[in-house]
Amino acid sequence: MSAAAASGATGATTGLAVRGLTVAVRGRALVDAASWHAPTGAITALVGPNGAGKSTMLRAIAGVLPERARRGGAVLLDGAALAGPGALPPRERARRVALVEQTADAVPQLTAREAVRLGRTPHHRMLGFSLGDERLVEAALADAGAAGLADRPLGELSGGELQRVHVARALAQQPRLLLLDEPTNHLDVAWQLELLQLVRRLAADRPVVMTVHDLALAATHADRVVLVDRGRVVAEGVPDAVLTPERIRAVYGVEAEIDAAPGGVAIRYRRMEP
Amino acid sequence: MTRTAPRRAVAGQAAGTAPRRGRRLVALALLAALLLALALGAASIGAAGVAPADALAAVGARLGIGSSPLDAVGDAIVVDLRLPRIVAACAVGAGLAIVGAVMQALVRNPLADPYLLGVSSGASVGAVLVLVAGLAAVLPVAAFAGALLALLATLGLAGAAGGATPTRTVLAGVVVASAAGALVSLAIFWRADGDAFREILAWLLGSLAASTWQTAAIALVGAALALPLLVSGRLLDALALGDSAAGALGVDARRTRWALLVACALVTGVLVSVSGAIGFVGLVVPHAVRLVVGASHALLLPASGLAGAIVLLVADTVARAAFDPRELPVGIVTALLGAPVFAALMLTGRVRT
Repeated sequence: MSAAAASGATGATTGLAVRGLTVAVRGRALVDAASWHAPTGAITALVGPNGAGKSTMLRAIAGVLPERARRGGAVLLDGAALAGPGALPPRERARRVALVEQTADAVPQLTAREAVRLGRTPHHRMLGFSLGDERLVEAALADAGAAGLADRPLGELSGGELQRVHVARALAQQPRLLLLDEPTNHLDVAWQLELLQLVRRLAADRPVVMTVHDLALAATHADRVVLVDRGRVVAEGVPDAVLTPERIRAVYGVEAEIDAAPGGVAIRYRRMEP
Repeated sequence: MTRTAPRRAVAGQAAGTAPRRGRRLVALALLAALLLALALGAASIGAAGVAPADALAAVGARLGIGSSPLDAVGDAIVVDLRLPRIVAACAVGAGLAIVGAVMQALVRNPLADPYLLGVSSGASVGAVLVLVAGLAAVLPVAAFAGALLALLATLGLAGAAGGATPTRTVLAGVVVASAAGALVSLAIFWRADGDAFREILAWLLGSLAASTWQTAAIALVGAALALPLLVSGRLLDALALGDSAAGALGVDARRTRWALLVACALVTGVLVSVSGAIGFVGLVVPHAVRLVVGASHALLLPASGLAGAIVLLVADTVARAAFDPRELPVGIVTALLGAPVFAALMLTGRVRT
């Protein structure tokens, strides 16, 4: 657990502030008046059961909810509105916020480099790419560990390789806020650590928010944890304050035994006794 | 090219980009040069043989450079008969291929071409109705109106059925095309006789035989309308990643898709009004070009445009000169060439779904 956790927690205007965010589809609230904060310089993990609304929150922040979704509340990044009243226009928003989704479609014939180049889209007018862009694209590929994949068609990549390409595309966007939906999915343990190290580097000068199912991973690598259940924020703060056996029992319905060692947190789960 | 890429990947990653971009420009320049050379060749081929140099000089003379080495008849054959037809073939071929490539990306369907979505069929209805009524003069307007109405019917039907998804859009297009085809047949059986019948047949098969400088100018307008589509390459790439990913990149998927579809209908309507319904160019050319230049639309669209121009120019020259004294509607030639090519692409697994 990093000491960075405490530093940004109080400043309400820097970093990402989600205020009373509500998303409803056909009258059903997927996110219900959620308020939380992701400070610059920290990794914030969104955790919660399946269907808790974690991904929906990320999509709402990135402005890619389906048209029929009704939304309310406000999302502010360093004081500028990403959603809600006076929100930035889509292109302007896309210059500041990058989202790596769990189920991004892959065009099989597009090469990895071409896919990463698309990350430059919001920074451009209609014509061509500048040479500076090409450097950024190569740097993003290298940072995400995808340099060796650059000329391969996406259709030939494995799930983990594809994930690295999607992260590289997000980096090419040069975002001031990085949103990752289950970024460690599809990655073997070595690449998980590699990715988390990259995320740590990226979090140095921007807020990073990632949804995570693995609570031990969240407790070990995130500075702050936001626990979500049925669209509502249950608790928010440093991991060991949020992820307690009581809360895990209340939210997930399982018994948890948390073992916080210096190298990382391990959690053993048991079904609850009837 | 895509097949060998993995092996190359490790060797030259960072260094590869600048030369690669250069190579792409060279590829486009080569295609353009080939097109010009073929155009010159086409201008000298035909019943009246003309040396390419003389044909070039005749065109130059008409533009006020030097004097024509040809007599008045030869001069008229090259500049007033062959040249407008060459220009029309290039413009129509380029436009159809670009529209085909854009539509394949928009509806995410490898079978998409201007024929899909009922656009060409709608244009046929408009054209046949005015031909039957003996109003050939307003054919371009009628064909365009038919194309636009058919597109609106297709998208309206798909939308009313619960949202214009790619699959629904294609299904609606099939329905509209069938209905339009029935209307065309009805009009022909009801009214057509003699000349109108031949005119309609030539139009339905696709022909550039009636090209004049007026129709060539209309074709050029159609191709010019396709130019804005050329710079939509990156938007198409972004859309291909999915609406949500496109949205995260600041691209409004819904609005972009609609704008591009309407632009495609415009271009198709204008082109089809000149040439009639020429098949396979919009379907096969983008697939073949994709094999060579890759799937990224930034290069695919201009390369498809040039390749489409080349293909239709060659096909039309064959249609005009190879079966002398008989002349074939060019649509027959493109179908004869296109069907086996597409079959070969399918059999080698190069048309990916």
